[in-house]
Amino acid sequence: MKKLPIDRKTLLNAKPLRNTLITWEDNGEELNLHVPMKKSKPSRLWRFLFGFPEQKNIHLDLLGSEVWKMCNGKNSVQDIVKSIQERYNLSRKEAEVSTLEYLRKLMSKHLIGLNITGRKI
Amino acid sequence: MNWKLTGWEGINLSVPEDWELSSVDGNREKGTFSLDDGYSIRVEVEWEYPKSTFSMEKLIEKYRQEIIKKGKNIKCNIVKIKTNFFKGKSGAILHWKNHEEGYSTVSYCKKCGRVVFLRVYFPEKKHSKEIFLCILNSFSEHAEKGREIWAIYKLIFSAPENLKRISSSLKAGDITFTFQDEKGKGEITLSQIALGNIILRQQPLSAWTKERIGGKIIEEKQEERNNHAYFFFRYKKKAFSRTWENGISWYCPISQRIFLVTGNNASDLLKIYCHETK
Repeated sequence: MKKLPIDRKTLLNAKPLRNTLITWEDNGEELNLHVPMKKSKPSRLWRFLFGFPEQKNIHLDLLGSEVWKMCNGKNSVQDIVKSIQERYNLSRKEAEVSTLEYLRKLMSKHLIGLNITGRKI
Repeated sequence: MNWKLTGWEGINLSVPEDWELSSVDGNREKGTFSLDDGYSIRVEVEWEYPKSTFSMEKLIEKYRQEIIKKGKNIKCNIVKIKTNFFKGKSGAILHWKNHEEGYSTVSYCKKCGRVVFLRVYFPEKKHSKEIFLCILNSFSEHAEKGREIWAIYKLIFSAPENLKRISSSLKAGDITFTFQDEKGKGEITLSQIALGNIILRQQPLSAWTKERIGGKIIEEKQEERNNHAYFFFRYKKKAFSRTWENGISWYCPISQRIFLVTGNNASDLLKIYCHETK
């Protein structure tokens, strides 16, 4: 995976922000994300020809849902790591490594972006 | 400031709570580990058995020269600090300064026969001496009463010193150690898995254990002791193996972690502190 061109301190202070095109439904503790597919002409044609759905559904587990809910543009990555660390009794490194990896995955799928002091990447 | 214990290959030291293991290398004979505070390396420990022709004075001077070579405009002095650190061993404490401050020690322990180098870095130069002295006074490089304490992240356990670590895997939230006895026949494996409460929401401990070990279980028993759910079992590691191994897995609701120990008499050999006792 491509590495983020930012240092660790900046990354921890960055504020993850959800993609506004994505909707989700709450199934108690877990979430189902509905990701709309591309609306370009070729992709519409593909969908028409092969019957592909209009949106992609992604199921998040309990921990993933908690992180997703915290990605509201107000909490920094550091806040999310700290919250996960305290709630699940993890060490700093355990919480940080797993949360950063998860955020990277969400970013690679364009589900979230990072707001770095007003700059979005 | 809160402190916690770090232990690796017989070397134990107490460090501030947010200093955690960042790298490990080598074995009991020769190796190194380092701790960081999330931003930079704070402690480095290195150990080795010395060569037969060994002079402590020469080693200290060589070490001092190495520190001077490494940094620009570095001033390195051998300092005398009131400490009981050198009881029964020979060595020196070096204090060095440039844009950051640091203390290094080199010591030779007669009991374990290893030369150990300890380096503590202070990028912000705050309370450096006090913190260093606390670390130094807690520092030990050999097993006590025949047992070695292993302490990394949130896993603390003690093992007999004759058990040799043959492998370890330090993934975030999934730590595994494998030890072998002196004869090289018996093996013990210990795993600690974080987020046990989430894992056990989907399946019971017994089902999780069976999935994890992947072997054929012949005997099993479930028990509850001190609010901890235990699963005892005997299993065959390999399909055509003639020997059976014992295993225990349990869930600690306080630390929210699952522990799994497999091997012969594993429970008697390893003493595991599954949660912090204050």
